[in-house]
Amino acid sequence: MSTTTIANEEQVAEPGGFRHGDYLTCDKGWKSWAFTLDHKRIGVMYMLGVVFSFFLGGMFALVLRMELFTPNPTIIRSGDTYNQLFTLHGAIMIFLVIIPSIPAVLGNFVLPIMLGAKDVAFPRINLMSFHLYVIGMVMLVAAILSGGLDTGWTFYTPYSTVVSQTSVVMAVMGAFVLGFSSIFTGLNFVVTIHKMRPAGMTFFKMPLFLWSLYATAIIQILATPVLGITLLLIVVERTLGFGIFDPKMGGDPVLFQHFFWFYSHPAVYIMILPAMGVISELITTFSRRRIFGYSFIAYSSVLIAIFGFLVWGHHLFTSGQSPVATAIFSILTFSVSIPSAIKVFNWMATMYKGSISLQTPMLYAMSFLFLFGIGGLTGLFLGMLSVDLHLHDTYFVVAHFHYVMMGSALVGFFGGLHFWWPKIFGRMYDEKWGRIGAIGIFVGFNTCFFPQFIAGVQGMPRRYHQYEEIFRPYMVISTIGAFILGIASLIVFVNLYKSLKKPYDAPPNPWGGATLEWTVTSPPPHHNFDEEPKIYDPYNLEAVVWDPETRSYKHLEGQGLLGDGEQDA
Amino acid sequence: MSDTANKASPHGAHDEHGDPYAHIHVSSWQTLVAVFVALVLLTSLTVYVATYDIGRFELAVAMGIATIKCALVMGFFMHLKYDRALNRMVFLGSILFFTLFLGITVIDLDSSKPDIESYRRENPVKTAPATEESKPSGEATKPGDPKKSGEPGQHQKQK
Amino acid sequence: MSAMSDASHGAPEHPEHDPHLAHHFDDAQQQFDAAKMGMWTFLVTEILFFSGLFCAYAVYRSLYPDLFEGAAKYLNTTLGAINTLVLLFSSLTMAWAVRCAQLEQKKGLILTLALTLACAFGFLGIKYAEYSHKFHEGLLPGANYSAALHQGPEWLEEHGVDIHSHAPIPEAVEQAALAKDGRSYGLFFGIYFAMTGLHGIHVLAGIAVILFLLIRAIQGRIKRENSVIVDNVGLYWHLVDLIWIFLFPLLYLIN
Repeated sequence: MSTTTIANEEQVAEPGGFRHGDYLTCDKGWKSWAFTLDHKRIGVMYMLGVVFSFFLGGMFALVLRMELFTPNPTIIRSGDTYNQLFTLHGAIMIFLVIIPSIPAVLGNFVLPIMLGAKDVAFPRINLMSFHLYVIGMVMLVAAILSGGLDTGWTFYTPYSTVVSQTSVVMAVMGAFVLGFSSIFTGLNFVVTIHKMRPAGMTFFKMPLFLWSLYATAIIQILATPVLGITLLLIVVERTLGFGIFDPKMGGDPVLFQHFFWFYSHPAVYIMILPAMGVISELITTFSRRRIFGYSFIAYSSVLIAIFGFLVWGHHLFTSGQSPVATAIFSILTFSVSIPSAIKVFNWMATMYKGSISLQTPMLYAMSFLFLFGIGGLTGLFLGMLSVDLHLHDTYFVVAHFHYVMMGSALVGFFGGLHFWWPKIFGRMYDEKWGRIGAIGIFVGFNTCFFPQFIAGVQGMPRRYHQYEEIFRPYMVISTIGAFILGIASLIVFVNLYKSLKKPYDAPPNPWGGATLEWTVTSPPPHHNFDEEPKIYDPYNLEAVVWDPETRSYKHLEGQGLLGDGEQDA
Repeated sequence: MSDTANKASPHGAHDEHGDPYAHIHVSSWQTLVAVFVALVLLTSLTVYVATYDIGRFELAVAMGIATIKCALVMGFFMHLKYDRALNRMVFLGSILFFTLFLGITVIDLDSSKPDIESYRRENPVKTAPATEESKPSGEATKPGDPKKSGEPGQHQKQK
Repeated sequence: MSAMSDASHGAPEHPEHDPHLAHHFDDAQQQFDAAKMGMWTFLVTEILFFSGLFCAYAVYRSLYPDLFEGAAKYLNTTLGAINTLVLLFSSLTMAWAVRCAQLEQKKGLILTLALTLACAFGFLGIKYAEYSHKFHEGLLPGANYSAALHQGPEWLEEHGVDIHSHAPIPEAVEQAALAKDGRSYGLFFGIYFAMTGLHGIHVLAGIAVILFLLIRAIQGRIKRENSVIVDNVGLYWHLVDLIWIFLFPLLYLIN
């Protein structure tokens, strides 16, 4: 296996220029991709999977929105079909898109380079993680083809174990496999960050993206196994009638919800934390200012990860949970807003008096601030017990989690993708169309989901394919927004794809970032660093200046280095 | 943290210019056997204790002994005593989150029980017949009757 | 398995390079530390993987103490205790195997690994005996539980069941048996089979990796430099032992 990926040692780089031996071209043939141990190639393959799944899940979303264009059946005849479509939309978007999006695509690519390392600690486990992702994807798609899935992505019992006639077992096993893929990515990241930091780069001198990936990885390691066992229990309940969640045997279906949300609430932070890390990098780079409140942002990532484990009960407010537990969970839920707000304030303070350039990634970062603000604050309403009893299972919830999942996590992913795209593929995309795509996503997203808040407050329940006439205006606007969002996504990816047709034209550091990945060529060489890397302070942006000769930013000679003790902030 | 590094290398051959594998810690076989003997004794103890009826302390004692055994296995067989502090923390972290998961879930223990009971009364199945509910001695799990485990005369075991 | 062999990935690029050191690590110490931490982190996921079942156990044991009390008497404490000893002994031999690998005692390594493997098979053999007994007596999870089957042949004949035929037990007899027991123990056996079954799967996985090590040891490919493979398999195997250390009193020793 490893023979396919040994570097072509003779392809030595010319210093400063574009090189032949970069990771994209150093090896040819599909096997050199499918069995590569190179974290960069694995990241790129993950990207293909995530983008494919994004459009698959997006298609389901558009069909759903079409159906909701009118109060009566529009294009879907039966409620069962509708149930299947929203389940598949949710399951695909969560398990195949959002969870792997930033850690497995961008994290895999950037993390070792940011650490000045040649690879993650366990390249084979990294590859295995990707293979598991593919297997899990195949199983989910097989479940769609062999009878669909109508349980909702939450697989609530006893519906999923005794009622549903769809291929729950296949889908659940798919999610189980994807869970292990996620665990192995997290395990790799934790060990890599702990053991492979270069000399001089302490935890508090790491780029904040790594902090967020670290916090994410901790959640992946601690929470995902619980999902694994929960899903296995669904399988044995469904096939062998174990009865652990079946009230007929004395089991407790609410226990399932506890198990499920012990994973799935922290999983929300698996999705959002990496996006926050990306935003930290984007804002500091495009404001050309040292990140404000570094240690607060770093600690708040870990705090969010820990608080994330303490609040799962707020999904069970109306499930017959005991009043004591409900009250405790409600109070704890509010606590999550503290580290989240700390981050937002620090980002704003970073931008304050910065020289902001509104390039495509920065547009995404600013969209993130706005959308995450709305998504986060509406979360407070839902955490409030009395309000939640009214809003539970209405479109308010749908709008809230789309603002967080799509509006924040995926916008963060898009921002990161545009930020690192020149580094990953060595090509600049068209800036004008990039900005149009970013603005289109922002406009389409708000048009789609803001009306759902209002519909939700007025009591429109989620997960129905028909609704009362009074909700029609909101649903019509929402559907129009969904199509704007769809078209904007298409613009984004067509624009990115078109850049691949060009020869390499990206300089090593097009944006002026100070982290280590910008010190190597675009795309990076096979082993990331041809010579021993110099370790720079990730946020000393004054030392990074535009060099018109190479049309790239670069570090001033001997400045901004870590480890000589003078640039401690 | 360098407590692993100063162990003498068992093979002089590796020591030409500073042994790069000096961090490997080798346990003496006497330690291993001693730990094994202790584990066997503790197993016997827990089986022996279980033949007596000690009421509500039963679970605590059994878990206490299991925890001691666990500590022995981790400390010596798994070298945690000689390992890096980080690995100890990793392990303790898992215990912390395990406790959190268990602890918070157990808070919510009784709340759905009445619903389950009434559901079972209304939806009898083959293996949970209605007649069972009507037997006064059979159903000991009514909400107001949580403790029945200490009852004497029920600890005959199948041998 | 690749977790353990990862340490040796990467071909040597320079002749003086340590062949056991992967290209992306600076030195042997870093590689060793990474491998150990990776394994410990993996064990964390294993512990949390089992935690769901322990949690279900805790919830149902405190909800239905009588059910656990009544059902546990159908478990064979002697076999459970013997299995505990078998696993403890295998842990000893595994720990000894690590020592042998570190000291490059090839014969000792092969012997201790073979003993560990034998114990693992022994454990599964005893487990098989227990399981088939449970199957025979209808002590099955949830919906498959049958109260009549473990009332003994006399009781069954009294109620007009031909114990030699494979015909399904009449509903009335099943009801009578349930009434005699007072309740269905299906939930307990659901938990019993889930916990011991998952543990058994881990034993099987352990057999696979120990077998892999044994082959490597016989080939003479385990040296002091890559003994961390044995160390890590050992950690996994001890964890399997640890889980059993808790399962045994929780399932078998309920009064």
